[in-house]
Amino acid sequence: MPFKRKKKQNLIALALKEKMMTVIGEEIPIYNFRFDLTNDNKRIFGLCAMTKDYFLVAKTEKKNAEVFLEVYKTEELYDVQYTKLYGTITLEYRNADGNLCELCRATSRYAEELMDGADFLYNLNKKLEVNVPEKRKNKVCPKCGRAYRRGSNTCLHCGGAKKILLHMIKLAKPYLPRLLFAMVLFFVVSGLNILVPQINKILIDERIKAPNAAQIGFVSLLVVVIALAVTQLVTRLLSILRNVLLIGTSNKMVVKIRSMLFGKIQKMSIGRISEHTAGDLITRVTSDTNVLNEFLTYDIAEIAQQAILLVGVITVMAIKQPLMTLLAVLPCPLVILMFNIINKFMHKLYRRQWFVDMRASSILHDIFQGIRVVKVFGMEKTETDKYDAAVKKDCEIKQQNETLWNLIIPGANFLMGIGEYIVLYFVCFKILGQEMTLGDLTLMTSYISLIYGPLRYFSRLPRKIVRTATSIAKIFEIIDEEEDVADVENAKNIDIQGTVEFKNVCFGYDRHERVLNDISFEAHKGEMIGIVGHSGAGKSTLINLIMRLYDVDSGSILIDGVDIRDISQESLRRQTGVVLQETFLFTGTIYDNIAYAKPDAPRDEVIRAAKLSGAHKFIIKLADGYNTVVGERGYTLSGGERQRIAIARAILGNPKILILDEATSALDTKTEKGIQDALALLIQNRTTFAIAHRLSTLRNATRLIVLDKGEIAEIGTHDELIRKQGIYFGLVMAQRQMAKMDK
Amino acid sequence: MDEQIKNQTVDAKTSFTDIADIVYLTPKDSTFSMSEGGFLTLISEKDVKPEKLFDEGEGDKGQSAPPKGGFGGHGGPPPMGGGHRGHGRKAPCEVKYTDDGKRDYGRVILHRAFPFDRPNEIISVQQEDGFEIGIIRNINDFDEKTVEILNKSLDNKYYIPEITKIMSAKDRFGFVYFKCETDSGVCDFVVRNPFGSIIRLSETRIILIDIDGNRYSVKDTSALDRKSFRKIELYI
Repeated sequence: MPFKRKKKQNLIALALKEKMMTVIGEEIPIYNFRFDLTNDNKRIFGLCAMTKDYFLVAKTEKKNAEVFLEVYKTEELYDVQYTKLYGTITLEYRNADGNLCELCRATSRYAEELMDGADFLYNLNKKLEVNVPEKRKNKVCPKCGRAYRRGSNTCLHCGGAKKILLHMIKLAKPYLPRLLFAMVLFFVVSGLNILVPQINKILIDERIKAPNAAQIGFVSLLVVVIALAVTQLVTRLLSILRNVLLIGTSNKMVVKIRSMLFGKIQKMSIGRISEHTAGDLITRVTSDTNVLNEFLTYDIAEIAQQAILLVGVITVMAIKQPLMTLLAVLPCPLVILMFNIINKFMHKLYRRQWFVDMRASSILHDIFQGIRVVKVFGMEKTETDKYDAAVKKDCEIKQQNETLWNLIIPGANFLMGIGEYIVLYFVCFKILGQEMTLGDLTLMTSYISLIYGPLRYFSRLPRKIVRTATSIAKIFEIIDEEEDVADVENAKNIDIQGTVEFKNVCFGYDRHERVLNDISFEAHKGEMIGIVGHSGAGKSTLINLIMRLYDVDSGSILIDGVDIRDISQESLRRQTGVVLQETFLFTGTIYDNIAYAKPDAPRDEVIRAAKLSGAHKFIIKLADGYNTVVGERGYTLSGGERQRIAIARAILGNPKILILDEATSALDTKTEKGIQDALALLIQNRTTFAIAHRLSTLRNATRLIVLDKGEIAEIGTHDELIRKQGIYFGLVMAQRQMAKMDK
Repeated sequence: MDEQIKNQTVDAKTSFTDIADIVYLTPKDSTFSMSEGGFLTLISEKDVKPEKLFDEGEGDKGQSAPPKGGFGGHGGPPPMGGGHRGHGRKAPCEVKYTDDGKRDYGRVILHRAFPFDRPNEIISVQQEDGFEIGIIRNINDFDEKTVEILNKSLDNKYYIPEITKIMSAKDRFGFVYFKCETDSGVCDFVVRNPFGSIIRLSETRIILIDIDGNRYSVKDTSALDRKSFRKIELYI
């Protein structure tokens, strides 16, 4: 289906382009983009193209319908802008009379291209520097039209299969001899399985039912029975050996994949990681690898075993009794089809059950997370009712499914065995006609059950394979992803002195929303730079760039004159200490949390860091002291206590660049002053960047940078900025008033 | 008697509803019309100006500074309110008055406060920079002609195709590929993670959000034909 659509779209695009060529001739448009709505929100196929002089809008309702073309002179489109509406985006301009008009409209599918187009057209008109927007990365696979996963650009369908197979082979290579040996065992076990009915036949025909049965000795009977027992024993033993071999290998492979995956996620940039949810990444590392493990351990063995058995049995049967084999195999396609239908049906039922289950457990999750709110507002009864209803629904559906399952499966199993009865009838008929023996009967019935076992298994297989393929694809999608904030080839390890220089830095998390614009300044060693501004002005972004959590869009950041992109990330991060706005503590002792970045630090160093940050004071009062376990399942610290631990953690590494993002916001002013004074001693030999809303926090700053809407509005010392009576002055005055009110 | 009155006044002052005020735009004081380019404009007796408390100063949660030399060239503030409006390049709107002293707001944008369950009530009227002038309590309070204009403007802004028939829904690798007939033509779209992206507003009302963020609605799932319903049944 996607293929066909793609083709049709291309044909329409071609028609639109042809129409455009009647105006611009052979000139190749500088930029073009698609749109898909009329002004009153009806679906349409549209194409916009711009050349130096013209802006062309072509649209048509469907394939082979009339193409409408609007031609505008680019210079006559004033004030081009886009407006995001609800689910749509429009491109607007002001005509010569100053009236606002709409050029075209698109659904969110083409929103980004349209926004690029708007930017481009605007710049073109204002004679500003024109960068032809690069084509957007596709959200769907250009080959098959299927959607990519968020933050990925490999198609699970097209590129995946071959690559994945290669990956798996590469991973399996060290274990090749073991795997080959296991394969041999498969054949042997299957062979033995086929042999057992043969021995049974011998037992019946040549011993029990033999014409000279009376003369057959006790010993010769025993030989056959022992042969039977030994074959069974050997089969079991070999199966055990085979399973041990396979499980060992697959577990090793999965461990390898898991650590590859985890390592890769650790290397991904913050930008990339935040494209995934934590839950998504956790699933990939745990349950997706588990699915793979299960498949490698059990299913591959099972598939190989069943396939070999099936082929083996049918061959043996066909040689002995071609007609009978045909009779037995004849209903097979029917049986497979039937099982497929049943599986689909059951899948639907269980999926519904799963959805209801999910809903019930998400209610539970929600309520427990917000249990305080529930209690405070006295809503226990309502919530209980809500959960009761969900559980009841869940129960109903489960009961329904179980009933259906129990009704269907025995019936289906009976139908599956119908071939057996046909064969039974013919064999009995032949026995009566003396063409076959009783031994043949047992042989045939055991062989038929040997055929139907694998068939039943294979009818379940497609779903399993799809599930596994999805998991494998999700795993390798991450492993194969390119790193975006990667170290250059010969990244330098430098000893940072502490000079940080911003040169015309521009940056935005999204291309259309610049967060920082043309930022230039230089911070010298030993300086403390305070960064102030309204929320959303770009303060945190600025320090994210210093830590190189993101790469700048244009301009550069130099540390001691070296571009930050040429410094190895390891050496950069080792020499920067950071206290982030959200202080996260890992589950573990307070000591471990402080010593996080420098686990080999001597104890006395850790305590000194804690003292300097004011953490020692409260830690020493805790019953377990530095051994107090904090984090989710441990002792809960207050916001201020967490911050003090975070500060201790940051200064322990003796960083050359210290970054404090609202590091003392949760502390009372007195404690803050204490830490401030302590830090003042510390920051002498290093460069410090500090963000604070409470301006008194920055009283020790040598210089202040006032950010406003992503640009540096003011820069200077406290006194200079006060004299200037600008934004900073306003902020100071506002806070003084607040302080007065507090008094 | 006196005491009773006293109590009442105390009561009146302590209720927050007396402190927080909603500016309702009514047919009496506001005139909506359609500009030449098809945009909604407003002239009103109510002259609403930003309040010092919230509307001035801080922008929204950030990441929305306009590019240098942005559109309009005035270097205006970042859009307020965040979310739906992405001009990113609008100057603060000029304050203009008509000859008879009414405020001419120029182009205004309607924004439904309850797009799903009250599409015609509580409609916020905003200026291009996102500043809220006031609220229309119910569209139908206005005269017929205005209702038509307002509805046209709303239809123009809100694009939620209503699914009338589901032609196919295929589940592949956790994505569901839909092909549906809607009131704005046949739509193909892809839904990622049907558990999160197909939202049940009530027993019968659902909203589907596709990978691009487009929204599609089914007003009444029980009104769908049987085949269509069977295709979507799994996810609701």
